[in-house]
Amino acid sequence: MQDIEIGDLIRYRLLEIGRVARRILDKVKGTRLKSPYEEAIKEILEKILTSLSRILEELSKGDEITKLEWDSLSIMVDFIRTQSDYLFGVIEDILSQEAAAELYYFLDFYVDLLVNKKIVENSPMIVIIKGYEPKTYLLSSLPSPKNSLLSPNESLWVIEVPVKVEGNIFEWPILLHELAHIIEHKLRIVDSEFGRSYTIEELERGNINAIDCYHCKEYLCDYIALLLCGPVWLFMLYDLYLTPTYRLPKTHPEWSRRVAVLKERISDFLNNIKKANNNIDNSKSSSTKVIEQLTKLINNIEQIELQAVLRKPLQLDNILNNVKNKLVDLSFKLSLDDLLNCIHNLAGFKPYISKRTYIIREKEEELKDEDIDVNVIVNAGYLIYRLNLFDKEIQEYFRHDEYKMKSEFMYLVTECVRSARIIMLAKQALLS
Amino acid sequence: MEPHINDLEYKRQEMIEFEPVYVQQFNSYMVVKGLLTYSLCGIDLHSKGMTHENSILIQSAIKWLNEFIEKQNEDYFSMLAKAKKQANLREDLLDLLRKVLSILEDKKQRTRDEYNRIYNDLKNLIDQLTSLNREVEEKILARYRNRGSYKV
Repeated sequence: MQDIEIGDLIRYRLLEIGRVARRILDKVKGTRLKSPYEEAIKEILEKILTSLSRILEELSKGDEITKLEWDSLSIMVDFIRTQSDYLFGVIEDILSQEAAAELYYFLDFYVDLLVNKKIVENSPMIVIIKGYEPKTYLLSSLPSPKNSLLSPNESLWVIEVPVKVEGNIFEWPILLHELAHIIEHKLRIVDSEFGRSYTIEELERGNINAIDCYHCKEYLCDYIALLLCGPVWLFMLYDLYLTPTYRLPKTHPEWSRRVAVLKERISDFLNNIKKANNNIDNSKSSSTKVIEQLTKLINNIEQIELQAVLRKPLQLDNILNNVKNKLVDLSFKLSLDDLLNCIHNLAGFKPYISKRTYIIREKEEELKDEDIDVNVIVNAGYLIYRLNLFDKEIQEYFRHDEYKMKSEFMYLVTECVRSARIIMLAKQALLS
Repeated sequence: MEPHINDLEYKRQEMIEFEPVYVQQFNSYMVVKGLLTYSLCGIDLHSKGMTHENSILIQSAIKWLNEFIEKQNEDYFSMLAKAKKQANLREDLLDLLRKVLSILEDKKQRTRDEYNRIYNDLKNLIDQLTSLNREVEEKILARYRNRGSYKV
């Protein structure tokens, strides 16, 4: 048994951790979050901190601490310290480094879509922060004396995004891939196809089924992102493939294979563009040029298929086809006309809202897919930015300063997405 | 080079990883270490005459041991396996944990030798587990532990 003085010291240390927990609890109560689920997120954080400080208080008041051997005591305090350092660190990051509200306007649109189409029952609680190491993780339900700090039904997802993603709307579709992971994690689509889940240990040992299972999750999340936001995800993935990635974790398949798998899934849309390209007259209209440029991009993407040497997991087609059947309602169908109209407007720095959005049909009960402007704007904006499709007058106005023009364009598109989202919410409110 | 690649800025692409391997390892490590820590404290207190009726730590150990034995999560087992380094691992580990559980649920005192043997087994496991996961713990916590404030 340890000396009474050491017991007092440990007791003081536990009380100190409890005091920090209460200080952060006050901070949580007083800090305004940008997430639309602010109240629910705060409730989760408050619950974690309250349970932790209550447990520490109970432990420090009881006489168990004085009875423990020095070894057991130091192991216990070390464990509590590690847990609280982690929890306090993540919570402090959430409070002080939350990403811009515009990201929520964007992401929330897709979360609503998933809930409205009953793909998930409730909106997953997601908080987006500016990250040190870009990653998505569950603020997990760590064990503490008595109970877990959170019940199994309560979960808070944290997405850490690099600042360059936060500041560039054309990188935001990455968030949809992460959202797809969160949905997949909840529904366990891939694990059920494989008949079991595989441990990280098995993946690290090079178990081929484990590798296939983890890779299928990536392919699936690419596909869900594609269903949610349209071809822009394929174009983005192609650009990611062209840009060096120095560290490709074992959990991820090669970029070229991801591009190739996705390309197969959207071949109808791509072929429509190629057909339109074959049928264009010799007029020099802006649409003609856009179609020509797009066709070039598609031809380049098709070349990737030849480079994608990595084998495709056997279960993949089954998984993607099942998801396609389940999520067919969700699938965003981008019409070429809408895309070209939107490109026409945005390339001249004019805002875009489709005419349909203004009209509220009588007896309309819910928003129809075709009313969705956010997706059209994101797809068109990305292509203009990526393929430099700006109007001549605009290029002259900016004296061909590409960086200035693109930077202004990003603000314009972000504003368009925000406006489209607000108009949609207003329309929903009017209809309800 | 394809013409449109010329337009692409040469920059390093950062991936947003979903539950990166080290994060999953850290979570499993915390769960397993919690289980072993409460078990160790439980055995220590039980040897000094405390029971689940008057000890929070013994109650916690019983709760987590029951959950662990019932669910038999593969990730947690492989985390423990790394620390144990022994054949017939799964059964050995389950035997140890079941033994701890039966002692803690019972008010009857055991011999000093029995307590010592189990205490040492648990302590060795915790030591191994901690040293094997030191890097992961550092990676996750370094930024929180070394956070400073700005001064001008």
